[in-house]
Amino acid sequence: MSTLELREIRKSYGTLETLKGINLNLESGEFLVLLGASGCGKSTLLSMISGLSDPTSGDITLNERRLNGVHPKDRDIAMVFQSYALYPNLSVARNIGFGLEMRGIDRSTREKAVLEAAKVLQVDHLLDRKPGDLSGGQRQRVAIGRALVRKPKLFLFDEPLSNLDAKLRLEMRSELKRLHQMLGVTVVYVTHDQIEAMTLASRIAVMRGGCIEQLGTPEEIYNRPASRFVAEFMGSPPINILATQQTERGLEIASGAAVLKDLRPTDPVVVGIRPEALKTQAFDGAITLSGTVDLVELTGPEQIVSVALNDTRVTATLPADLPLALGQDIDLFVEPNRILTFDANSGDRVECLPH
Amino acid sequence: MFSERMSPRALLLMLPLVLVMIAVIGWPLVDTIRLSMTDARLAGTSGEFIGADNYTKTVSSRNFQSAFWATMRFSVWSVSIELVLGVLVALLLNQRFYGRTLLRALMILPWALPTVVNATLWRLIYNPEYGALNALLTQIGMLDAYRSWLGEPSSAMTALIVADVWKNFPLVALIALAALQAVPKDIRAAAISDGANAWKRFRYVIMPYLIGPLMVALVLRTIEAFKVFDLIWIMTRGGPANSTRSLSILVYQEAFAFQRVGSGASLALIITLIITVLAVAYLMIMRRFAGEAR
Repeated sequence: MSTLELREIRKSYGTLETLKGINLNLESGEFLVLLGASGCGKSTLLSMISGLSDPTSGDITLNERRLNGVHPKDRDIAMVFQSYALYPNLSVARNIGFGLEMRGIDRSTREKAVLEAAKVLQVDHLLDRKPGDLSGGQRQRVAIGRALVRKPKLFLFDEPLSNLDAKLRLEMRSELKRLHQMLGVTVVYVTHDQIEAMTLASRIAVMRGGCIEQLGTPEEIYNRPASRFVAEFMGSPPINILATQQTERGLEIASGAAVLKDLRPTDPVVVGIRPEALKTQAFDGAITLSGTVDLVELTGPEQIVSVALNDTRVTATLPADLPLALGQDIDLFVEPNRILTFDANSGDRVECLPH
Repeated sequence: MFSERMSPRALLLMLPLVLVMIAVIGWPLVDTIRLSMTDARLAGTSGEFIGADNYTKTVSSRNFQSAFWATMRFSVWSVSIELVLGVLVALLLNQRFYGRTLLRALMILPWALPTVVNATLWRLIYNPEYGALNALLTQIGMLDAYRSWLGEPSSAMTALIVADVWKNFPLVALIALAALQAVPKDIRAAAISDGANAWKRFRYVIMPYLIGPLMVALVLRTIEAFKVFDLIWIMTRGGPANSTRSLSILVYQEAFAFQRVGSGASLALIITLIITVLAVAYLMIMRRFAGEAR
């Protein structure tokens, strides 16, 4: 069953079109992440789903009910803001129960619901405090509690972890995932952090310039990116993009560092190779890239190695225990089907490998 | 800090300021207290010591009591109206509309005018023969004959309050507008999606941000209103029939018109005391609000 449906959503400010026809279908219980750099329109889209702004054209429906023009409070949607947006003068309990209070729910029902939500989020011991007395993580929990207590059909999260420090962000990320698994709620989550998107999402919509560049599961987005933009946006360290030349030997990459014999693309292409696809052990059918070690960065579990190939460089993530010296010759091996090819002009991924 | 006690060096550095303060505040105050206990007159004798006589006479005098209540009426009405009007105007100017910036700038004008200009302007408006108010009211049919707004005890005080409100609500509006702009956008949005109506949003979301700055405006405006002199002096000179005579005007008349410096000084000190009590009371309220806001 489809829960949220967006059809041809457009938003213009004067002559500037910030959303250029967004189409999305969200299943019940799904965790959809809108991922993109700032200015790609992801927050605009979120605020239109919440009802805080209206699309210039297009339809928003939730459970077959058209939401265009419906007041935010009547949409059965709850939103969690990046800045938490807690009411500073009200206690945690009233913050969580504010939505119910404004809807005229009676006191005892309200208190029960608040306590229940607070317990789920482990803030039940803080109910009498003011937001100013809480830590960033606690405030975030209260903000989620405020959304949870209304039992909405849809949760919206606007970069909820951006204001937390690195360690807390990891904790809250796992917490959110656990919460989603436990409650089975439907979520639309906006972030610019690709790791957040990968770890949390059941599906990711990568946005760029007011359009959805690709919509798919994290696995699809990562391994079968629709375009060079998506490939470069996902993954850290980023994917290696190498120029190619058509010669009679085949497709040469990195000025002849390797030749892909089977590839005969009709248009000029670039290739993309993820750093972790590069290995140091030879295997059957591997493509070999020969170069010299240029830079080694040990991260702990692995080392990020920059290898000079003729006039360019590639980055490879290699096991931490591999002994490497600067300037030493190194052969890197990659499976042919892990080499992605993109049209050099449009950036679209093109299939030109015989499988 | 280096030490709880002040070092001699620090004292030395503060000395010039302390000397200036003693010269311009301390000494005049002490001398006023001295004067208030004498029967000194403006010209001639420096006066004999008569103890608290001036105070008992002043407080029980009908002039003082009528001036006190006139000042109270003026202060309470103008400050209350200024606060309400200021907040309403600030809420309006915080909305997005075409020409908002121009309107914000224009709003400051009355407040930026010197009181003398404002008072003269309103005196012209209220003029019984060619005033704009009379013209307006007769032309729209609300008035049969021209009235002397400042010449009748029934309307003079109201006319003064209107003039004061016109000049001073922009200050409140400006302070309130600054406070409104400090309300985070996300919190407003959260309140909207929580289903709070306009009044509840004002009460629970905006008011907490507004209350502190408004208290400051309240203190400033009350103290100023209580000291009012120039506006009234130019528009009515305390008349008609002393109905708009404020405490400051009474002090002036006592000390300089009737040349009774001693009793004038006692009056001035009584005003100072009243204002000090007001200021302390406000400071205590403000501290409570500051404690709550955090």
